[in-house]
Amino acid sequence: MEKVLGIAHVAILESFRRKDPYVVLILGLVIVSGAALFNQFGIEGLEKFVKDVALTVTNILCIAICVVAAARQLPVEINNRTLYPLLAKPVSRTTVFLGKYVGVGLMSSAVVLLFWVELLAIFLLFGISAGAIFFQALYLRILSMWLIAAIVVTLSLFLTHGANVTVSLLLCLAMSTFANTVLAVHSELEGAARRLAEAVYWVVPHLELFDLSKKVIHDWPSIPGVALAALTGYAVIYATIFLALGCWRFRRTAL
Amino acid sequence: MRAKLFPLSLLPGFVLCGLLIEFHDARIKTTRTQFTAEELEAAKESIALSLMGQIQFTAHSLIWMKTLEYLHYGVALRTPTAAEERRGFRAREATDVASGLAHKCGVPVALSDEMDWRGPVGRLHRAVMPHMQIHRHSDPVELIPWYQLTLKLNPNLERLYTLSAFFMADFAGEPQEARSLLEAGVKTNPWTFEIRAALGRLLFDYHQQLGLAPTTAYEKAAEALREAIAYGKEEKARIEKAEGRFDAYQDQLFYESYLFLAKSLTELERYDNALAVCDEGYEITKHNLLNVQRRITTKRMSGE
Repeated sequence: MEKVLGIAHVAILESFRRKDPYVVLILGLVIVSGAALFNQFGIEGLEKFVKDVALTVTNILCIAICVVAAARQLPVEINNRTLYPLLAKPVSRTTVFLGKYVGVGLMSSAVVLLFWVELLAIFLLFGISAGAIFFQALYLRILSMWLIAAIVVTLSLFLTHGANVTVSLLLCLAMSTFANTVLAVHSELEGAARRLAEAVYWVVPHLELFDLSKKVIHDWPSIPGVALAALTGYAVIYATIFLALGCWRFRRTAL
Repeated sequence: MRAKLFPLSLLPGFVLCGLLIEFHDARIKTTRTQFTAEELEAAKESIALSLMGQIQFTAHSLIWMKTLEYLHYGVALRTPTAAEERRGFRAREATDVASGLAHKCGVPVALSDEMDWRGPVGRLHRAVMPHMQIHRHSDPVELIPWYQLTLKLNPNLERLYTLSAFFMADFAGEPQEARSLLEAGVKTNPWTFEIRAALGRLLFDYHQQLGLAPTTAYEKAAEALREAIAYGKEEKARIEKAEGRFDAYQDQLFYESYLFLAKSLTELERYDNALAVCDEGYEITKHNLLNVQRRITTKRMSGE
């Protein structure tokens, strides 16, 4: 575990060296300016819109940063040949893989936290209330970061860097549309087509379930603890499957 | 040698392109004959056909969709499929809206408990997504800034002026703002009968809150409603010529134009004019309230 955390620490340091957190802060500032812009047009009472824009942009940026960071961890190490001195030390490939995963997970969680603090500041500035659901949304967003990191780090061992980023971003950002489409057309399908649609629905990761933005925007009450527990279980199981697959693949990869 | 001959392989492609151009050119010429030179010239200047206009229209459509989402507490709605309708999963009538705003709303994207084939995952989905069994609407007052923003992007959305003014006056208690909006709407859309009809009714209903003397208010209302009727007749004729008909909201605004003009003239003690308006209105719209108004005006005329 110590070795895993050591590698994770290096991964986080590298992210800071690449100035990722600063990018996050600048982008956050852009959100604030964008939201404040509407008051310049003389349109007041758009609190929900401010929440909507801020949360949508935050979610997209968090996902993008997580995907990009997770996708580059192993391919960059392999291409730069910096992986070899690391493996020359008494650390197994599994430790390196898990270390990279934990590093990305922690860094992405920190990014989400940073964004949420920024959102809270914006909401306070505009006098917008943020109830318990806001903090539940924060928890689920952090949870989804760990799930996304597991998927992307694993896919980076199967796909090229570009393909991995594209597929992962599609999985993360278009999953809601895909899932809703399956739900809408399901009743019209019959036989093999219906079974195929159901199989695809069950296999793909349902990242849309980790997004409480709409409930935050429209001031819905908090969701039951059972739902949070179920989603935590879902994320843990799904991430474990992907991590096991990734470890297996990484151990067998010829370097 | 093969490399030198390669350009020749492009020849069939060029020929095909030429044929396509010929085919489409003929179609464009045919289409052009359906329009006058003035109409084609106007189309060149049309905001809807410019790039910025397209962006503007797309933006207003997106915001319009957002207003629908906001009106339903963030619940995403869709049209049910034929199979779903057969199983009783139907769009429901909105019951908590004023007359003229009645509409059928779609079904929530997250399926109902009976329809859902996903068991606990379906319940989880309904727990995390905004979902409602009974169709409800949020406070329309919060939609006013959205409508204002949409009207900034597309100032020709006549229906939005009347809807927004209705919410401003009735729900938010801001008739002065509603009047300013409707007057701006008439200025931007001089051909409109809908906005004029709404303005006339607002002046009649809210003259006290607007700080207008009754006679002045009724005169102004009568003027707006007379124009509304004139433009409404033109609009009706144009739609019927294209084998269409007024929608329910237009029908309502049209008969209300006659009704409130008759009421205004009655208040101004121009009884003969009011009766003539009632007769003409009933003949055109067949709305019974105009007969009721006729009786009221007759009673007032005879001093009862």
